[in-house]
Amino acid sequence: MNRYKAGQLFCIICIAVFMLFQFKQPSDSKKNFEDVVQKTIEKIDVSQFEQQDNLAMKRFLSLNPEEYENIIYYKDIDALKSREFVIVKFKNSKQASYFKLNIENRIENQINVFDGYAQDQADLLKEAVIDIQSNYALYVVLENAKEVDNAFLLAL
Amino acid sequence: MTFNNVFFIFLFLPVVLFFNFIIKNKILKNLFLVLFSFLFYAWGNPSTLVLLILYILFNYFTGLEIDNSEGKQRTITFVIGISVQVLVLFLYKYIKLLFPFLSVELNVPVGLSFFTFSCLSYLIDVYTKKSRAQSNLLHLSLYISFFGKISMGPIVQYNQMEKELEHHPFQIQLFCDGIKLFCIGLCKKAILADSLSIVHTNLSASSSVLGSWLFAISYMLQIYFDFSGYSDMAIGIANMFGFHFNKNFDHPYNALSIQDFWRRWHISLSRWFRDYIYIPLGGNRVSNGKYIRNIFVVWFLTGLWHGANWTFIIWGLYFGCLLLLEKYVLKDLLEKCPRFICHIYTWILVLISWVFFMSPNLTQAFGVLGKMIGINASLYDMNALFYLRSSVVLILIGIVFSFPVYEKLESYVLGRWKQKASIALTIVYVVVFLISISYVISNTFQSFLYFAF
Repeated sequence: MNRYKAGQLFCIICIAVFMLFQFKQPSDSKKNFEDVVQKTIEKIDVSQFEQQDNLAMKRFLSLNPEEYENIIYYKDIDALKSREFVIVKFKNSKQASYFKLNIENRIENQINVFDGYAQDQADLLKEAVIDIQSNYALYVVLENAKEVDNAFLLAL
Repeated sequence: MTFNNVFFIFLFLPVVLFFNFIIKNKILKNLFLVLFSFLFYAWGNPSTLVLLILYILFNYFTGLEIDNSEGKQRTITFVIGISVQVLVLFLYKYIKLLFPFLSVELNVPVGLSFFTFSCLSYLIDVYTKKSRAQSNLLHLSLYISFFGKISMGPIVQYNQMEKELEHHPFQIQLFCDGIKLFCIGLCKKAILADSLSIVHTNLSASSSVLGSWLFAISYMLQIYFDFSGYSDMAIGIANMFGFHFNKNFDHPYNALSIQDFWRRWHISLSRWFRDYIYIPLGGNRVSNGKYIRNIFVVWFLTGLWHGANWTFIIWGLYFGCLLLLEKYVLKDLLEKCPRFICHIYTWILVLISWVFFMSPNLTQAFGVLGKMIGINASLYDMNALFYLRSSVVLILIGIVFSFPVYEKLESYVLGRWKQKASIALTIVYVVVFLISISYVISNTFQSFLYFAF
């Protein structure tokens, strides 16, 4: 085997090893949606939030709730606050990228809204968490977003 | 890292240009360019740099082995080279399309489709003896990783860039053209595309005819300014470093037919498919049956290249069907039709294609198309009226500048007033640049649409 062939083979092996490391395998959670929601919102004072209806999801998040197996959306009662969260269960994993794109657009639009007059709310948005775990996803804009995310992961 | 980023514009690019200018030694110049390209690519996700470096090494060894082999061995080496890279692309992007039950998830490296096609171009050019294998690893690294084109193209064929890899000297006129093109691209992206994106996003839930049309038209303009803007910036950057890249967009909405549209839209991709798939299959120098097969193969792959979704495949095949229709049925009619009819014909068909392209699934695509013709839709809604009133000027500006209005105006002004016009235009470019920067800084940042590919 000459050096070029050896080099080619070496690279193929390295690429194969690299690809193996790249495969992440989050399996679908079989937990009940209500249980996941219940455990996730333990870290949230829900009295300060109002659950939103389907129209609000379409309007604010550009999401059609009928497409998902389950979805809930809570916004802060105070309209001058950017705090909100969404927990969704997908019907299939292809929905994840569209969900993420829409939520990212939502965050960017919200930052535009709050940046001019409520920098603290804009900063909160910049720390927003979008966590997609196979058939479940969480979007949260809260001071303790990471704690809520951890609760979400444990719930799954 | 992206081009419409303050850090890139005011720090990264000036630093790289500075080193490129002061370093006179060709080898050192290229070395710095490659290292900065690696830095650009690895920014934010260093692990994907590993794949890029492996690709460079793999193509380096494979190219040299092809060049040093004959007959069957040469073909086997070539097939292995192509197969490995196509397989990696398949695993990253398409495995879930064919095996949706698999719960695997891979983060697709930025620009994977683009630099994979660059690598395939290199191997095919070497195999077909259009080019010799590159024995200089630095030159090959520069071709594959050059930061001006790695993330979102243009997909420069190896044979087109080969001669400039060793020596791409600073040329003042080319450098100035590059700056101008970069400014134009930044304006297209930061001012037009990002503003249109806001309109598009806020109309996504519209259930009216008006809202659906605005939704589709805003996307049609957004994707053009987004992608052509990035291409302009990429080609402008290449010019600044002494490279000549062909233009990637030629006012596609000025097309008079679908065939004309595809001579103007994402030119580097359509040329890649023409030179490496369509022509090797026989092109149009075959029987009608094989010609139709060739068209469907190319357009299926074109759709698939854009993403692992049936909407992209339908989008590609849709254009394949239209091209066949134009060749076999509409050709004479289009030649006799007045230009404005041809324009309207092309716009409507292209607009329909963008509805498929932007929709996450076929159901939604047909839903939007249905609403556009009044199925399950009211004539208008308050949201649509609001965005019509607030964005009509933006949409009109977008429509006007999607035609070669500015170029014709610039040529006329320069021809008429020469030096005075030159000074005035320079001021215009500076002002446009500053306005674009203010848009970038004011957090209307939207990631490039084609970044996903």
